[in-house]
Amino acid sequence: MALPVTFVAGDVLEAAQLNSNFTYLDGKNAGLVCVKAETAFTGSTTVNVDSVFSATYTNYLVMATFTGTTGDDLSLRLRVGGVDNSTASSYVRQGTQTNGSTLSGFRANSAQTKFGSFNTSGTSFAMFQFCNPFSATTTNIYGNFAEPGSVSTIDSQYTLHNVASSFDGFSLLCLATGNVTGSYTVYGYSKTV
Amino acid sequence: MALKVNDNGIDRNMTDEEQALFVESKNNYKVEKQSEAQVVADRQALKEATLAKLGLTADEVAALLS
Repeated sequence: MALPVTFVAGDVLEAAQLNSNFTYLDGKNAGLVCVKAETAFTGSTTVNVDSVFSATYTNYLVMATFTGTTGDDLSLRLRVGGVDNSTASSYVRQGTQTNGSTLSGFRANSAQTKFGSFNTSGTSFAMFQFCNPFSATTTNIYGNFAEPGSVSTIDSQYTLHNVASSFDGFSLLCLATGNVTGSYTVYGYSKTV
Repeated sequence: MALKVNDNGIDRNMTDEEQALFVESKNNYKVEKQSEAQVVADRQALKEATLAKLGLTADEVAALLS
């Protein structure tokens, strides 16, 4: 029987067909599966997100909005077992940034990568994809963030984290000054149909 | 005053050990930022010096490259 069974007006619905359709739908995976429900943080200098990466998914999407007490950057580190990885120069970050109409490129090796920047006048937005964070290999992190303002900053960047270890989460840190308020959600990309 | 950390949605104060690590990270970050800012400043200075040698404005160079 081809699934899903399509009924038309006047068909007699058989229990087996109906059950087959239910089974068909029940077995479908959504493309994106929420693995960490939207979570708020208020006045935080550090936001720890643990146990979100696992063997269930290979790739993940993190979306966040945030604002702060002052203009600042929000840094990101991978972590495992509640401990950040801050190996010197292990986060190799490269990308482009537009600030108003000025375009510039950057490349830096650091003990963290950049997740976003923020100010007091608007809500910043970041969306980052993590490829293979749970696997004991290097992790690719690619994404964008936008900091709104009279002149907005838009950043597109790629980070290679060159430590070949398994990570189950990440942290966001206000390493310059101030603190941050916002929320984040973590999704896993389904890898089966 | 203790700094605040949000653990998976739950706010709490940092422990002394966490705060010490955080301050160390902040100090390292400050050095990195200064170094990055210096690279940008050096590049800008080189750009201005090169334009001066050529006797062209930035707009004129942009027009040449467009």
